[in-house]
Amino acid sequence: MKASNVFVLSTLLGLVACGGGGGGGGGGSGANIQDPVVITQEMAEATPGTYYTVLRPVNFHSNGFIPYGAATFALKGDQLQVDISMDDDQRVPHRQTLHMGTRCPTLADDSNGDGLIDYNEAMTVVGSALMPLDGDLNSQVAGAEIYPKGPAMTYSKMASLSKINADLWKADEDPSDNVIKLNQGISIGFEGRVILAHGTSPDSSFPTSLASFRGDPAHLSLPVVCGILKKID
Amino acid sequence: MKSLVLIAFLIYGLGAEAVTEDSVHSISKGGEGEPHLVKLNSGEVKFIEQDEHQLLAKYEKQLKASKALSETNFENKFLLQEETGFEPTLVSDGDIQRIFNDFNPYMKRKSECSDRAHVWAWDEFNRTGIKSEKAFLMLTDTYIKRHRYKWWFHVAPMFTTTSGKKMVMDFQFLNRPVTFTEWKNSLVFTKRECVTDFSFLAYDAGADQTQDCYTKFEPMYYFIPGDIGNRERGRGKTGWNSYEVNSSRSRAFFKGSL
Repeated sequence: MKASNVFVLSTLLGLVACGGGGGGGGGGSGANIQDPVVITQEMAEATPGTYYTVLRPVNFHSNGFIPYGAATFALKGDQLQVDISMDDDQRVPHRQTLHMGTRCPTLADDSNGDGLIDYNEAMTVVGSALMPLDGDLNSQVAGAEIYPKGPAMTYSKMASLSKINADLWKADEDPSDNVIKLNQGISIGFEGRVILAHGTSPDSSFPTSLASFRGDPAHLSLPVVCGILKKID
Repeated sequence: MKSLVLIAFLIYGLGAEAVTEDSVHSISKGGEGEPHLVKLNSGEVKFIEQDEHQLLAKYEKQLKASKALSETNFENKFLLQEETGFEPTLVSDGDIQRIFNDFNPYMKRKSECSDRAHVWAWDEFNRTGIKSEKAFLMLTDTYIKRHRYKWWFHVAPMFTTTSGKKMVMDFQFLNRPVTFTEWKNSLVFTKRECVTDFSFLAYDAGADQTQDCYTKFEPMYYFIPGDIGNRERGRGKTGWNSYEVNSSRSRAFFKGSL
């Protein structure tokens, strides 16, 4: 019975309707497919309960403060409550997104060897974005680019799971970005999904090799914390 | 034995006081054109510019008060488990991941490393009787100023395996147990080796500023670097301080989480 609830990630990605990655010039969706990852029904489709992750630093040395935090997705019936907090010490907006991937980047993913995990390197690992954690969780477009600001940011939003899914089943209005859509009938899942937040001090000095999101200043694009959601009840 | 410790833990916790984490540990005056560094017991560093006289005076006053409180409180220190020659429990390599997985993950947003480390170490001891150590990492003033670091020390629980490895469990920052060297390298940008053979009081008095970092391994009871200094003054810590554990838990973790 359990076996019937198991998919292979490559199979699921095959059902994804969008044009995949490439956003910011890096990490196309093809690059996200590494070894086939076994995913469960929980990963493919959200079920009621609480999903939690500690958000740990991606780049320890982006400035003199090591950021950290936590994220909770609580699903009760159709109602989704998302709470994220981060101790970051920086008065900058934190782009944050739920991704298709199943792991967070590490220094081993620093492909250009400049000592930092930049936007493109992170995208290669975390994969396409399913849900921007912005001003409106019900829609990928509405509320876009409205992100919480530090220092010591907290983010709390409610949404409707059915609205989120309905939005995910719409046509992809911008196939060039890394935010994807799902085929009709494929619902969003939270278990094992990656949350990645970006943004550090503008005072930081970075190598010129650092890639950023669509030409944003490097400090705004730099991945700062990451975590993998796990169902806790 | 463990139950006696627990009973003592509860009894001695009543009415106890300790140096608070947001109190001032020390002030390192900056040279010309350099900021002064105010080091808090939480590990945080405040950079005070040369012209911020009032702010500096405020912290100097707090430091004086904090030192006086520390001296008064020492007489009330409560040692719950008399122990000479602390030895960490040796755990099998296979148990290391289990210990890490059992750590309480429900930290508050602005929790301090010393609070988290203290609760994780106590909880594991309380659950299994395993005695761990704390790995303390302390940075030099030159390093702090060069990298504009916002903290002067960091601490995490450390467990010793039967194969002799020292595994640091910094649950908030790293998603797995790591060797001490890996932990140190993730925190110290230059990846230089840290000084290990030193007196904390000497470090506190100024240290060798050509170095980047100093490190000490201490028994699990040690809460903040000031405890190391107290031992060097002949006032070592050989047991849990229940006030410290309870207040650390309330500061760093959500109520009801274990």
